Amino acid sequence: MPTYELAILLRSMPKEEIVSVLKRATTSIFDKGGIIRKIENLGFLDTPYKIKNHGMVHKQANYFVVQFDSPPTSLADLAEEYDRDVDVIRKRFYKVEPPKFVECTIADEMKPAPYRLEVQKMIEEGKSKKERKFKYNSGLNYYPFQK
Amino acid sequence: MFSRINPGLLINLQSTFGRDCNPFLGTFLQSVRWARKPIWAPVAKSKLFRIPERKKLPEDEALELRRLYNEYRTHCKAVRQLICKEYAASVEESPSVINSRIDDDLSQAIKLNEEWNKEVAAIREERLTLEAEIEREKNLQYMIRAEQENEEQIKLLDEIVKAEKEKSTTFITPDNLDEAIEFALANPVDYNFAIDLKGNIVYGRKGKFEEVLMKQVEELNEKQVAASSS
Repeated sequence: MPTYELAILLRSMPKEEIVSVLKRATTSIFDKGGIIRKIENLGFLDTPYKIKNHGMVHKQANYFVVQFDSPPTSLADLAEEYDRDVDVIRKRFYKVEPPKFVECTIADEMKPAPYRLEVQKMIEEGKSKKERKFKYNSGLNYYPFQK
Repeated sequence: MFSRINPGLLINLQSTFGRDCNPFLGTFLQSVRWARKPIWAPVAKSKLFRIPERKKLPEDEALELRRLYNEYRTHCKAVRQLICKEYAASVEESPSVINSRIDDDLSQAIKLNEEWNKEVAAIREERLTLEAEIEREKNLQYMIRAEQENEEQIKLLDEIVKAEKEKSTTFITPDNLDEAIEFALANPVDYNFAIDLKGNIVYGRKGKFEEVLMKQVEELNEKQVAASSS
């Protein structure tokens, strides 16, 4: 089962109701044969824009992140279930990828141009290239006419 | 030859030489239709089924022509017969001799061909054995590599399974769901962070400080170092 991340926005409501909504959402994951890895609360934040859902306009929402494993076929059912939930404003599933290791090369990149290895290579390449000289094909090693 | 004669010229010639000695009459005269009509114009409907009357040669003319042609034919026959006779004289060999020579040639050619075939077969044999050797070597290498890859894969999977098993203790089950929700509500997480030019990272915007990102990066670095040292 692949790991997914559910980003879910709940409408503003008292804490008890939030708990019950979260419970509803998570139990439906369990019902589909899923495993929940963690539940995170990102807080009660302003939405980036006015969101209208289930006939109400929301400018603030409770942001939650649920990391879970479940069969890919169950995602559509879950999405449909959350769509029908009146307390859920928005929801979205993401596939969790292992974080990539990126080597930091900022120290090298901040050097002045001639000290950078890349630039040095380019300069060498430029030196190795000879300038093309036009040949008159006259059999003479000089240009016979006035230039 | 005179495919495009000027009608005016014809008239002039007629007037100068008279009708009897006109060089453009008889076989030399060709009517050029498209001096009058466009080249693409079809045959006129009224002329479509007209059959032109066959021209009659004068009798004495026909007789003379026949005589000339007979003579010509006799000469040609004579020359041909002479050439045939000369050729037959130059080739004084019976068909049996020729046939035996052909057979000899053929047997010689077959012999030579067999010799060449043997040579080529030897070369082919050598090449095929060499190729088979190379192929066997390649297959062996492939098998070894496949086995190695398989082992690596199994090792990797074992590692993943082990890590998952370790992690599975922290998984949320229906039993501790309430606690997990309570904990999440009590501890908001914030993944935002700020970084200054010296590389100092400050996590969080509104929520509590969480070292999740930092931990991930550190773990990755450790792994990388371990991999490079080993």
